[in-house]
Amino acid sequence: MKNLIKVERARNSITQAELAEKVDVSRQTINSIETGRFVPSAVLAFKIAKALNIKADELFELEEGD
Amino acid sequence: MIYIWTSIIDTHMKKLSQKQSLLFPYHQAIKWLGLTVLLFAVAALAFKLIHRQWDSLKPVPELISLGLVFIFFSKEKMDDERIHQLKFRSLSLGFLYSYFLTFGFQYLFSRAATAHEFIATAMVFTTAIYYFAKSKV
Repeated sequence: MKNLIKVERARNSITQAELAEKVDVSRQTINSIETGRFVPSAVLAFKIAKALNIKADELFELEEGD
Repeated sequence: MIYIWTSIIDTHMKKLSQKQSLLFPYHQAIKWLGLTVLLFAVAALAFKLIHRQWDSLKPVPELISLGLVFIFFSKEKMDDERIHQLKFRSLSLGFLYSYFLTFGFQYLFSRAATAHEFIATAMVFTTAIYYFAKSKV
């Protein structure tokens, strides 16, 4: 699953640590999601989208094979 | 009796699904207790090996498994869903590797591993896999 977290973080000028604190996960988890090594649950995906002021389906996109 | 047990398990599972922080039951500080038990087991093993007391190594696997269970099932500082997934994957791999190792041991030495030896081996694999996977960020 592709995501635009890095782009949206840059647009909102927040670091991985700040985003992690907002959604109550570790910075390593945000990093893993950004790099595509970990696919978050729907709840976490919605929380991240809300923290970045964007819709979840705009932030996350299914790839072929998902 | 079975009905009582299933209702207890059902209630616990409902609580788990409502609150994921209940998934790993022990407080963070229990990790230190686990580490102490593990160090005691390693010291006991070293002592017995130095004094060539091969016949009385029995409590060592018990202590190692107990220590590692405390370490592995304790909550992390940030206990999020990635940690839960890593722990679940580590457990599934650890127990599978342990099964093959103890099976090979039984085949080679014609002695079945005890339950505690199996659990100790599984927990060693599980904990090692978990901390390795966690460090790969």
